[in-house]
Amino acid sequence: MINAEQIKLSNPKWPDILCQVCKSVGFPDLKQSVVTELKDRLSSEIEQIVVEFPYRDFDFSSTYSLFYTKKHRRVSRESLRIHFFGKKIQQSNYFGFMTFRPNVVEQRGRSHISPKAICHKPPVHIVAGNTISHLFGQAFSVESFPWMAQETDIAVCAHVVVWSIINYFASKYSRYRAFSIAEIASEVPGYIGRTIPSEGLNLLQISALLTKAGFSPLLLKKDQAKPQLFFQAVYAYIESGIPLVGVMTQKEHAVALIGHGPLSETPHYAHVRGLQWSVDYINEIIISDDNDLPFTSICRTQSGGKYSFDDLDYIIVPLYEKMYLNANVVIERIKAFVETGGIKISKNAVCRPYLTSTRSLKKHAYANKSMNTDLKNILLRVPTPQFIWCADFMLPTKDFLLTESRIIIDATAGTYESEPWLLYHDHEHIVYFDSEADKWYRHDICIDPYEIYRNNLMEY
Amino acid sequence: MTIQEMMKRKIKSKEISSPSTEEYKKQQDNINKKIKTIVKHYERSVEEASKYYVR
Repeated sequence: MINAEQIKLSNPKWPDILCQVCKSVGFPDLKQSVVTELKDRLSSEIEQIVVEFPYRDFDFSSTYSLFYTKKHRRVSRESLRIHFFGKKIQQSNYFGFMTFRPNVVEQRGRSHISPKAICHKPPVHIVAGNTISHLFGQAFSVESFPWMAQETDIAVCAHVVVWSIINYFASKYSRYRAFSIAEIASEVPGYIGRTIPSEGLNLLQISALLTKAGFSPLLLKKDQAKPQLFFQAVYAYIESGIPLVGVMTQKEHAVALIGHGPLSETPHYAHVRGLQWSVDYINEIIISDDNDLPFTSICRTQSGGKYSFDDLDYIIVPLYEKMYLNANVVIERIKAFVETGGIKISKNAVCRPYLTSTRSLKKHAYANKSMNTDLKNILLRVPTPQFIWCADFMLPTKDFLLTESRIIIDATAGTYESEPWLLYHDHEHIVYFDSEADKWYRHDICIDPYEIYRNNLMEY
Repeated sequence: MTIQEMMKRKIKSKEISSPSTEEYKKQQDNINKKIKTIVKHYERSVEEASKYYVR
């Protein structure tokens, strides 16, 4: 029979009780390090835990049939699952779940934990998809980013990052399908040496896995002479709601880059001349690292935590096939356009580049009450491709809530196309391209700043 | 504004020959040079990707 036990976190001895309950329901020793991590990281929102055993997790079952059935020693196939709740066991108080594998090396299995369940310095802006779990027949949904610790035998950090990114997209967009970790391990293209047990993946193998899942991956290495360009690209893709594979080559480690911390009032890196960029106003990139529970960070300086910006030196971006123009080319074009007087922006405006779908941008524009009516009308009518690059020029007010100018760029444009613009406006006029008529138009009008576009990332 | 109101509201805009300033057009060679460097760097990133292992 399936057992479920409730543990109240108001009892200071709950970590010991959790260990006892796991044993009593039939799960072998829950590691002390796992319990300590939960004790340290769970936020005050979590008031109770429900322990469920046995739980047959499809992901662990996949590794069980691929690997553990071939081992001499017997390994159980039953996982343990714990659900996190607030005051009541109901949907509005649900904060996700964690599964624990019965094998001895690394117990922390497939987990979907709400960012609200984990302590962090608010607010963070992260990508999150919806996942449904069931407890005694009742469905509970949670917004999260998929996480697990590496299996170690068949999967290492690289497999986990790919697994989490693919499953995030699968939870959000119907055109992608979910992959189990065993499927990912089986799909690794052979390079030199065997793939199971895994001795690690190189970056081309990671890229090939993403290609098999339907993405068009883009690789970018940090140019040590110009790290600023690398981080501008990292930020632009994160702001686009695209989780990235972030690689720290010196540490031989990969993590998923899933968001960023708050924008500070003053930049951490100031450009003496020219444009200011929003990447310079963030101090941390939020990550999902298979070593620790999710929503930890890479800080600008080493003193800020376990990893720093210096450690991060490669990214693999899982792009949709029609996202042709890369971030650095777009940024270079924007810079040149602004510097040659194509668009008038305030001296202290901060440029925030991101990719988005036309559908989302137009939906947001339609609902935006502070946007000028003529601008809204033109933006909703102008023909655009499925994906577009946007550069919003934000006023540096508290929380950067207002856009004063915007450039919308065709993401399908060629690298050397000199005028990839679809629409741009400052506070005096709107210029747009009607691809049906193959003509450019200008509309002179006074435009006040309006609410910024926030759709790609969720704020917690 | 409702969709009906939006449909009724016709905007008259002036046709222009180009969205760019003369200065932007003049700078094209310079901009393309910078973009070429970016593209080369992305190509190098792919070439070197097999050198690095993560575990």
